[in-house]
Amino acid sequence: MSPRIALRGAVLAVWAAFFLWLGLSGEVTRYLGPRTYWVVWFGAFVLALAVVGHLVSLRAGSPEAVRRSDVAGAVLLIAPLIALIAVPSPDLGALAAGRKSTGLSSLAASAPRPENAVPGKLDFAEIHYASESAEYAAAIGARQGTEVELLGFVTHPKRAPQGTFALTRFYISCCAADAIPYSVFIRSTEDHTDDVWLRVEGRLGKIGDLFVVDPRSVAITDEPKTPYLY
Amino acid sequence: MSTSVALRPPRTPRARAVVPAVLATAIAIALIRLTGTHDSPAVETFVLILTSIVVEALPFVLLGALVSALIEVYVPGRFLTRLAAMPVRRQLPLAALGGLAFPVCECGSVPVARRLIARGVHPAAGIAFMLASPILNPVVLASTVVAYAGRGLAWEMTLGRAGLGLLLAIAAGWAIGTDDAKTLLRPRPDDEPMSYEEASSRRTAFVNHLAADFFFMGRFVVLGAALAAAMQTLIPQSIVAGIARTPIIGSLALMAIAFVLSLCSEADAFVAVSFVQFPLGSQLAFLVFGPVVDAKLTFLYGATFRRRFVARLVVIAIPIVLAGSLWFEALVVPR
Repeated sequence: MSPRIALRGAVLAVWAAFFLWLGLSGEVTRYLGPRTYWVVWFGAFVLALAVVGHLVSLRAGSPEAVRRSDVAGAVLLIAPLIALIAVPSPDLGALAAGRKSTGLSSLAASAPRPENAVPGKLDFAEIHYASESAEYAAAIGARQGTEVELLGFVTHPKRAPQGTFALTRFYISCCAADAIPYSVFIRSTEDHTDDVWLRVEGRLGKIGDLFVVDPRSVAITDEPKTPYLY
Repeated sequence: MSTSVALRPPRTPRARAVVPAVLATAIAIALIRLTGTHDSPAVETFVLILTSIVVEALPFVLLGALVSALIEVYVPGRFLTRLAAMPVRRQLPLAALGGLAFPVCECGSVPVARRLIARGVHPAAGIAFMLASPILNPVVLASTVVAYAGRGLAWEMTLGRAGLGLLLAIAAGWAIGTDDAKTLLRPRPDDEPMSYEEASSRRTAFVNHLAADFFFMGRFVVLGAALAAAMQTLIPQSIVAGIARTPIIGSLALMAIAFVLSLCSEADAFVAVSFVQFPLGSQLAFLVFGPVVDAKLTFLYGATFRRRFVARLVVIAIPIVLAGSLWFEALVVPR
């Protein structure tokens, strides 16, 4: 038996098990967007194939000893998994929203054309663009007094109008690396600390051209199973 | 008692290396948990971005290693010798267009290109293939069509991306690939050609090559992802994006963002289309530059090629991508 092949097979098996767990537990939603979920099953499959290949050649190969560089390489390869043991269920929160916010008002995602708007759909992105374009606001039915319900986490952007805090959600395309924050301002005398998840029900109001929410009820809630919007 | 002590086998190098590594890892995890560092928003952001990039890249690294091992063990030497005997001016465009048939992103194309060069394909052709395949492969082109369909610019962006990517790959291959393989590649023991006469030895060699490439490339993907995650955790993106209103600055800014984000080319079009405040030419720069130079690739290239490869590639890529994106903006984008 070759200890070197065994070590490599073990690292591949750990990664294969992690990919399988991501797929089965639904934790994949923490790391990837729906467009790339398939990568998890694909990864589990090819990694498992590689493990089988290693098992088959375990006895056939010459008994090569494990070198220090092999151990260092193996530790580096599984470093992200070690990090996940130390930091289980990591989240993107207010700090990431501050870092990832570009400061350009419409940079957050592709601005939908008014003709592509879904009337009545009023989530973070839609409210954001309603502030940018009166045509789009009319197309989705966003006007002062429109009822909305939002679920997001609290942030405090520098550009927040006085007497408001922001409720924020990340939108992702392929993975958490491309997460882009959208914020909607909540006009309230009551404030909350960063990263607290809130369910806010209320009506749309305005500060200048900016749509804000005048809340009827604000309830602290748990983080949803799928933390991002798409 | 003394007999059993006398019969105990000597400690192997494996045990000497593995035990401290496991201990150090356990101590590091315990320290992070005990000091409460795991609750820090910066640490959570870093770990999440690091893991998501690695999860997305690792299967493709393995696929690239698999193709690389197939080339090494199963592709007959005479086939590659015939290919290598072709004049460079024919090898180069053929290799670049070969990317059309290789549905793997940038992490997978590096080990394949390395193996092709090590087995005699001209370095210029190998580099052209490596840089073209993450842009020209069918999955990437299809995702670009889908991403830009909503903007009514699917074909303009897709053909622009393919054309500029092909041009960049050929130009970079021609300019950097003048070195011979020994000068260009960092040496590795498994580069020596071997013969595999029996099926079982072929299987073993295939697994060995696959594992060698995967472990070699995989750790640099982790290092590159760590760099990208650190930059995303520490540097506000508004610093780059805030200066991005004009085509030239916009293109340079989106190239910088592409470097930092280190996205997979098979999904980056969905991100590029979201940069609506940037001119379309700048979005094209993001789509062509990112698959060729980014934070994780810097480590992969550094481990594969000798010194100055990355610097030479950047010097060639920036002006070509910038000029191409400005030309696209001026002549192709509808007014």
